[in-house]
Amino acid sequence: MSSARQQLAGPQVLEADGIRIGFGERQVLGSIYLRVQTGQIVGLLGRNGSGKSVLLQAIFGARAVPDASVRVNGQRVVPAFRQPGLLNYLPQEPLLPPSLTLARAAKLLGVDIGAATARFPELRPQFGRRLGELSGGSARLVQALLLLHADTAFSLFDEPFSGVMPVHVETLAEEMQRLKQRKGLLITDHRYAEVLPICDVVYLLHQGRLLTLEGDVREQLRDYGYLAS
Amino acid sequence: MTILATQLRAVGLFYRSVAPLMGGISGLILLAVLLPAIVEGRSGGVMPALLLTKLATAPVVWYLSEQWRPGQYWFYFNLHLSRRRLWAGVVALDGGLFLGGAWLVRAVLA
Repeated sequence: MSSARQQLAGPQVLEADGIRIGFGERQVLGSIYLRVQTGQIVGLLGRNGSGKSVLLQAIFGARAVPDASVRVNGQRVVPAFRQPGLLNYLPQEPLLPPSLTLARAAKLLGVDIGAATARFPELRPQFGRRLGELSGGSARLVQALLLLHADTAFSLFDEPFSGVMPVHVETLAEEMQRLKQRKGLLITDHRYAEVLPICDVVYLLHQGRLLTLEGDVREQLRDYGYLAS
Repeated sequence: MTILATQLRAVGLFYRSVAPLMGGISGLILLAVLLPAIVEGRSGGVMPALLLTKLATAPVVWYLSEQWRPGQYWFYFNLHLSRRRLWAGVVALDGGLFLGGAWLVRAVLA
């Protein structure tokens, strides 16, 4: 599914529902319906342990959920990660194998690493290094950039700003806004002050339910106990 | 790079992460099974048994790998490879290398 084909086909709509996940007695996710469209940045907020990462993994297809339905333009795509060009996923933990240099990882992902890091010139000398040789923030940043610039219709990012220094967070957020013209982004991150301004839609995972927040989002986040009142 | 070429490279990359363990097991099998068979002059029909023994150790490697590096698959998922495909590729590659090594050892020593 190349960019050219996506443009010809118009906007892509990723929908997920029927995702119910529990750990032992505890139901983490109830009946969830989530929608992301190319051209959108969708924010997913929630308290620790509310199931944000689990939800992203279930949509990505890495976590098998019996009744889960993940669809793109109405067509079922389970597991979604098997479909070339459809979506990618940045997990909280390191993405790249420890033996792989950044340049080689970019090549395998089909990304022009020079273009992907064009706004971060300090990353250039690091292309020949392995992920473990970078600082935590630089490693996080470069992984987010590689997936952001990969030719997929959607990107699911779990804590992309974690450990990244503020000046890079701002530039990364600008990159996300620029690249949303050709893809849909689903982002979960506790740095809500950086996430909220770039989001077109904000969801809150609360007690196993996915709530769409409209209007004064910050006030609702306070009402649901995500922000201090 | 086509998707197939990318996935083959990815399988090779994944194999490198488990090669020390799989290679060690291969060495042990060759030492414990093939070498005595060569010494006793009955190495002719031992290859199928050797391969079966080698294949039987694959679940052990898989289990240890899952325990040691539970997050090792994310990169490969992003290359559209499932666990099953990765391991199928690794077992095929390792089985081929093992058979080639066993044949070489037998050709040199027998």
